[in-house]
Amino acid sequence: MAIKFRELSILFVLIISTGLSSCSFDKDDDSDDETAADSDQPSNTRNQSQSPENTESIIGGSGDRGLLLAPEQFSDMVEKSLEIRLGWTDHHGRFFDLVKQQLAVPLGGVDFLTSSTRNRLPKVQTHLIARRLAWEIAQVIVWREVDPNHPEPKQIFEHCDIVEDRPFRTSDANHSSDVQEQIRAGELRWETQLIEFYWRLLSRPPSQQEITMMKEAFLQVTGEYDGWNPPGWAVILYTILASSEFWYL
Amino acid sequence: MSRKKMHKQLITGQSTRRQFLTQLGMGGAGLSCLNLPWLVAPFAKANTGSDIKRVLQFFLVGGWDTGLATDPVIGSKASSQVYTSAYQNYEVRQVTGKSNLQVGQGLIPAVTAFSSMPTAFINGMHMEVTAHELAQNYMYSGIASLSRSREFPAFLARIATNTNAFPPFLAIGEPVPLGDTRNHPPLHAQSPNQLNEMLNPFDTGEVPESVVGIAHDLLKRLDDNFKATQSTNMQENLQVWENSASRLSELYNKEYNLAIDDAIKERYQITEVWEEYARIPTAFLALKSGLSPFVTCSLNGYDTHINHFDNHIETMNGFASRLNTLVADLNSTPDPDDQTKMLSETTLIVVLSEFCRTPHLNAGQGTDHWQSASGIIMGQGVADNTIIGSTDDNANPLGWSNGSSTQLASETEILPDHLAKAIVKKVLPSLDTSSDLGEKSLDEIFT
Repeated sequence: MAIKFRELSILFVLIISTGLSSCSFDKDDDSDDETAADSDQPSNTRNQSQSPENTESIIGGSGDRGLLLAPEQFSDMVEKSLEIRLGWTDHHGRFFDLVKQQLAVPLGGVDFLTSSTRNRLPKVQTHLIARRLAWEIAQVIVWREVDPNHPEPKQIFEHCDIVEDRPFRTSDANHSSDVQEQIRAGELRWETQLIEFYWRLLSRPPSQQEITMMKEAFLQVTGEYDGWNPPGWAVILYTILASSEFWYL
Repeated sequence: MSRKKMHKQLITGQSTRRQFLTQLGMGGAGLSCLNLPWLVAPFAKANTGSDIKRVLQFFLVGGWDTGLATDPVIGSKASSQVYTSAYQNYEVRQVTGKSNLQVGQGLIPAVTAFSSMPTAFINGMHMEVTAHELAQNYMYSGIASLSRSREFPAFLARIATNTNAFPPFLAIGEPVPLGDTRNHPPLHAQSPNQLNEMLNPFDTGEVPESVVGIAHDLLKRLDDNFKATQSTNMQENLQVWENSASRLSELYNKEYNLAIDDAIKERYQITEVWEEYARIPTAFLALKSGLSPFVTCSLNGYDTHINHFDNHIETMNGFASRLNTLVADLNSTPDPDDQTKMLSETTLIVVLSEFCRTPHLNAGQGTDHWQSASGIIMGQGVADNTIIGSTDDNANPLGWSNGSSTQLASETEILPDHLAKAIVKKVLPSLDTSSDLGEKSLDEIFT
């Protein structure tokens, strides 16, 4: 029995226990807002010897040809990196994973009939579903951070204020120096958060080019919403989750 | 507790997305993407080179009972010791205006459909294998194989991938064997909801077009950056990803709406959109909207090894009544590519099942698999009021030669290969299938 996908976005079960939310990388415990504000560079909590410019050595792919994420792997990665589970729990307490249950076959995953002929070639519906999932997840991640009435505390926007912090706009030069300084500080926190997302989702920091691209897109999107920042983050998360780099091992 | 109730409980008390989006100040624009610079090719119409522009295939999964369908138990069959006498408890009906066509109890709700479109039945196809998966693959592809590791493409997939249709075809329900057509795969959805939501990913967010454009421009740049840093082999993989992604705008821009509204629910006797029968109007909406000219729709429930008549008749009636509604809709809906014609004039309907059922009952009052198969072909150009092939009083397929039954032999048997070849020849005459479907073709099903 198919379930309305629309409704499922409200049914995402959040992982409460921090024990289940372990990320696949080590965090620098000294990283905090003040540290980021004092530094001229974004706080890179990864290996400091890896320059963001040297993306060729950072960007990976499993083996020489890469493998498209299986639906199960996608679900697991989203769960671990964004601390969100996609699915529903029945009255017996059994958890049903959305991607595995509903979307496995169209995503080229395992189904009972064709498990031996599993086809991981990207199909039209791979993209359709991938983008649909990416958008749903991005919305929910941002929503749970923004909604003041959300039952769960802030989960992963640990480095910046999702509503206040943003990149510096050209028009900000018209503000007083104090205001500009505050905006710049927020920009650094914003960058730190972006780098965090890159580590969580792509296991590497963004290049300077990517940071610039993300900033530009973020400001364009928020400009469409009269400066309201959360939609910008939704677009950033969406693009990372829908990207080929995320979907290829 | 039903899943429906469970979801209602979970939703209660939580903010809806609409509330959240209202907070975000997102407007009420519907989905659409801008024409993006990476659009590779304009949307192309399928070019079959024939009057048949569309094919709608229904696959009744499990093996249907032709005694309740196209090959009713009448005449000498009725007094046969092989067919269970229970068949005599059920009605056989003449199709109005079609002197040669009679249907069993299961298809009675569809007689109006058969009356309104040129219709032919095929009986007595010799199906050598009666294992579900192997027989399904044979019926889908027209190629017999005992291999579970090698897959031959469905004949509809072959037709579709040799036209300009994009997506090549639509599979609603179970997966369809693709074989070497997997590089041009169908759009596959297990339910109407899933299909509609795939085609409208931003609909629930009511995201402005400009924002979608910004997002996809950024996404393209990220993908280009990633590809540029990869090895040659990996870049080949990513090219496949890029090619298929580049055509998404064609789908998004069309703003297909395949939602099943209340009017459709009422016409097709559907209570909930997640019912399997909802696949039937979805197939119609796909044809009507021009999403794809080739649609395969699978329906389950025919493998009635227990309580055959009770279960099977109800299931087949369910399909037949909705087939009736579908044909009525095709008769009253213009072809999206040619408004001077109705969809019924440009669409070929094919109804198949992997094999049929034993003429006798087992210990559980059910039926088992039988080495015969049958089908229905409907549409313009079909040899109307025609039955090709037959079975004897023991339910065994007979041979067919020069328009009449004869002894079964390798030269006279009707096989799924022959049917597949005839359909391919009719729909896409330019496609040469002699290397794998052979030369023999059941051309008699067409005028």
